[in-house]
Amino acid sequence: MSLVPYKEIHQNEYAEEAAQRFTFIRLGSGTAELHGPCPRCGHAIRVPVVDGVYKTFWPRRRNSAGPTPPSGNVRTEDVICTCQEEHPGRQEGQFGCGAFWSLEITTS
Amino acid sequence: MSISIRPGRPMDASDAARAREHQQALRAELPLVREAAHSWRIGLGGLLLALVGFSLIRGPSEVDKVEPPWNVVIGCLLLVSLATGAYGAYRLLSAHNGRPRTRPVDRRTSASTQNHLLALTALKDLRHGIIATFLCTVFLVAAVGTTWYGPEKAKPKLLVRTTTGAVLCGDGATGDGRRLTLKTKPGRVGVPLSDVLVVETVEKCP
Ligand SMILES: [Zn+2]
Ligand SMILES: [Zn+2]
Repeated sequence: MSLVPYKEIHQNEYAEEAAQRFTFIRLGSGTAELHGPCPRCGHAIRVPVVDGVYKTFWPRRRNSAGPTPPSGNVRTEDVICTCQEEHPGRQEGQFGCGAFWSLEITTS
Repeated sequence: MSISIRPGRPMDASDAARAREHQQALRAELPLVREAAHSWRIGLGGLLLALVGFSLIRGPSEVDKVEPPWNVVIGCLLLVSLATGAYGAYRLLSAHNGRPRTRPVDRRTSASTQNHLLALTALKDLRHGIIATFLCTVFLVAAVGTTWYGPEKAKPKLLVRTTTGAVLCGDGATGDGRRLTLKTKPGRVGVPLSDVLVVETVEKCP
């Protein structure tokens, strides 16, 4: 697979393919990971799924990536490709190949 | 427990930017927590050092003046204060430097996630460290307060036996060369010095 250039891009197929191929791994303490190949560049990625991120001591703000529903049912997780491989044209502070998609994770 | 993954909502560029910021925040999280722990450690350490120094300088000589069993209470408060202080220091140090132990190598999860889990642990250490340090302060202040405002130990009394068989006991003895005057419970009592047989100090009047 040749290196695709970095491009922030969203296609419906990304979410469909990711929904098929990604696995959701629970790690405890409100932390989990999505494992699978990026639907655009094909590189294996591991995306953290967390309930909250520390930003400042006062006040403790919650996750910035969408509202967090009560744990143990449905949550929507916006995913960006976070692969470590080089993609031409990627700027400082950008990740992966630029592909992004959204997944709905249901746990019961 | 079952997990199902379905395609989510459609996303636009601002959603992607938010997701990217979220990833950046995750990567910056652990250093931020460690930095916060460092500030707390320095601040609380300074406060404690000042308090401990202050109470130690005033300490032993003043504790001796307090009536039993309050001197024992002060001792216990100081001990508990020391224990919570040491525990708090350990937790604050752990929050800043990480727990003093090795972690199993985890090749399955990403560095971001591992750092997030470390940040959660450090945050817990930080919270417990702060609480323990404040408790330590409370116990220390209680100990110092009891030293200052606890009941004072009674001063030793003078017991005077005279040739007439009388026994006087009290304090605030004064003399004018002929008579010895003592402040006793019923009031001031004087005896001729020539009658004084024995003068001794006692802890308490009979
Ligand atoms: Zn890639
Ligand atoms: Zn990719």
